[in-house]
Amino acid sequence: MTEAIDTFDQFGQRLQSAGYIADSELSSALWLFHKMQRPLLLEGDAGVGKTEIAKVLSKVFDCPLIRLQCYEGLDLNAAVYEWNYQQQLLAIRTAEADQANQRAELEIFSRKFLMERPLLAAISQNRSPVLLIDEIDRADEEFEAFLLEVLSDFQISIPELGTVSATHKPFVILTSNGTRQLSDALRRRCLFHYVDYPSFDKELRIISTRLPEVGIRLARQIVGFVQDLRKRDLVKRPGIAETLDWAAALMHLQVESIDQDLNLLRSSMLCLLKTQEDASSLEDFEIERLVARAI
Amino acid sequence: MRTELARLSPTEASFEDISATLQARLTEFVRLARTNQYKVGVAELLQVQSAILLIDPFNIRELRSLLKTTLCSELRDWQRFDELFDSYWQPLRTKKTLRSSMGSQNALTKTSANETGAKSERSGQADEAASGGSDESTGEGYREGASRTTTLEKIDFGSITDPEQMRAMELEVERIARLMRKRLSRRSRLDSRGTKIDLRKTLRTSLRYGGETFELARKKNKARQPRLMLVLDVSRSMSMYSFLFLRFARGLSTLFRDSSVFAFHTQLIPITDALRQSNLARVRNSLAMMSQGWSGGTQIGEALTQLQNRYGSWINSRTLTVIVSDGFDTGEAEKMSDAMRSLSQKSRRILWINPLLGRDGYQAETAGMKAALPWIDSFVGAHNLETLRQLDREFARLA
Repeated sequence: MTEAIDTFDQFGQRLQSAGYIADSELSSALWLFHKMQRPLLLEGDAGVGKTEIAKVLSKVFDCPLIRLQCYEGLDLNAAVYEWNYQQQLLAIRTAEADQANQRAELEIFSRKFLMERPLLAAISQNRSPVLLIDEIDRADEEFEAFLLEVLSDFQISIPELGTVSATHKPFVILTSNGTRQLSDALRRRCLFHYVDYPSFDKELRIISTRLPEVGIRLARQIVGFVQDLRKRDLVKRPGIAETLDWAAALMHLQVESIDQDLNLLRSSMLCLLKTQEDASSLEDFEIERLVARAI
Repeated sequence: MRTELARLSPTEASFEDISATLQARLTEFVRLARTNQYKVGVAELLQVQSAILLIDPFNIRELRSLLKTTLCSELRDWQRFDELFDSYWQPLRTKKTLRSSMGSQNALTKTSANETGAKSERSGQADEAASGGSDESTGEGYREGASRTTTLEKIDFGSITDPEQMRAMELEVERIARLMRKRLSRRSRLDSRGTKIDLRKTLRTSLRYGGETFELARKKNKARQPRLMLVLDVSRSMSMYSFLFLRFARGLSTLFRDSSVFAFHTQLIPITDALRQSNLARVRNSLAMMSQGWSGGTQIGEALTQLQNRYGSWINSRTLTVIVSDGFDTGEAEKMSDAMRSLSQKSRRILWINPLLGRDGYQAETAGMKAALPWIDSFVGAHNLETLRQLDREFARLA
């Protein structure tokens, strides 16, 4: 870390200077996460910026980011470590050829033949990294149970080598889209923050920061439109990334106000509505109504 | 206080370093959270008591943030936390209904109360916080005050009249359904009788033979996810429940890869595609237009026979059939029995969800229900969120 961060507000400013607009509740939670160094579970719909938080924290803490993307069937070999079988076999053959070297068989289970995967890599760093365990709800329950040992003791048992303990405790961020109920045991090991869709002001600040060339008038219209759109019963509500894409698209289409050309607006909305059901459920008069409310 | 406390790391400081009153109030708040179904215990209390050293406990924002981040563990906790917090730490700011339950004693030690103008606001808040009582008798009151959202859990689906509450209930029902999906795992498992060779394990085993492959490790795929067939009763007697179960069906069907949903009253209507529409009110209207019999009489036996005649190819040994109905049948009991017998022979399992089961005094004594019972693998009730949540286990067991 470059310098001490003493207050919630200072932390918020640091996040902002690293390019992330956080509301006070989130910056408080992240400040506590930083001070307490307990794993933080971030829950929220896809597209609200959960993964981005981990990325920006690695910038703020000036440390490496190690990411473990979870999926169904993720196992310890892909998440923790794996022995390098080819090298081990080669070592055995070499030892057989070289009669003098009788100790080779003892050494094939040493760190030299161990391939570190994200979890082991995270606890073997020289300084505390940010470890992002992304979409933990996609992983199997068995993997979740294994994570408990890592998250409570920050150590990993390798039968052939013994227990590897963290030299520097990583900052662990877990994200979940809530598609599966996580176990209470895992939840109780973590701090918790629910990342909701941004408020009008926050979303406006995000657009103004990321795409200043859009202009404040159009940005206000865009945010107003998207905020209203999210209140509809959609299969996939547009996240922040979708708002930014749409803003960029409108800018490139040289739209100055969203009521300028409704046909153009409708075609540009493919940036916002990502399923056929959502796209077809929005009638023209409803778009007009949303536009009228936004301008 | 902050400056004094900031010098201490949680491990260095003993509890005496912090005001005993503050510790007592934190303990009490954690206990209050626990009585409000927050999953917190001694570990969380210790965590809060040590982490309080990191913040200014007289700054209500910092205190709220600490407690919220530490004590919440899921969205449900998160959504009702502010109400719980305010009812205890800021009773004057909460609604009148909550304030009446507050006691007042045990003020915090106000070391920072008179320092600066800016701080006076803080201490004002601390005063408020301090005035939220801590005696045992108030515990019940808090539970009452903070339980507006939790009571949603136990409300019978059939008794909701408030549209706002209905909306919240619908969202929750659909959320539960999404969580309930028994996930299909693509992962294969090691099994000595498996049909595929596990290369990684084989190589691993060969190391002990100096690299020679003597033993083959085998694996086989995990059991496949069942095919889900939901059959919803939308007759008049079910009208209080059918809309919620429609949402429940939508939640389930969007996540089960292989699923189909039917609605029935006197006839059977496939609604899988209709459910994919985002506006469920529209779904309901279109269903109503598709049939005159919506909210009319029920002929369950006839509907189940139609189901097997028209969509028979859909029902096989992988199919988990879920019927949602109160069992009030205007058709013949014999027809019901025949239809159920044949359905149970074709399906993998039959789960019958009866929203009336679980209500006091209800017994499955209608002729239709009695005729169906012998062919049902699992007969469960789901008349509120709490019981709906428990269906998860039944799904896991039957799948």
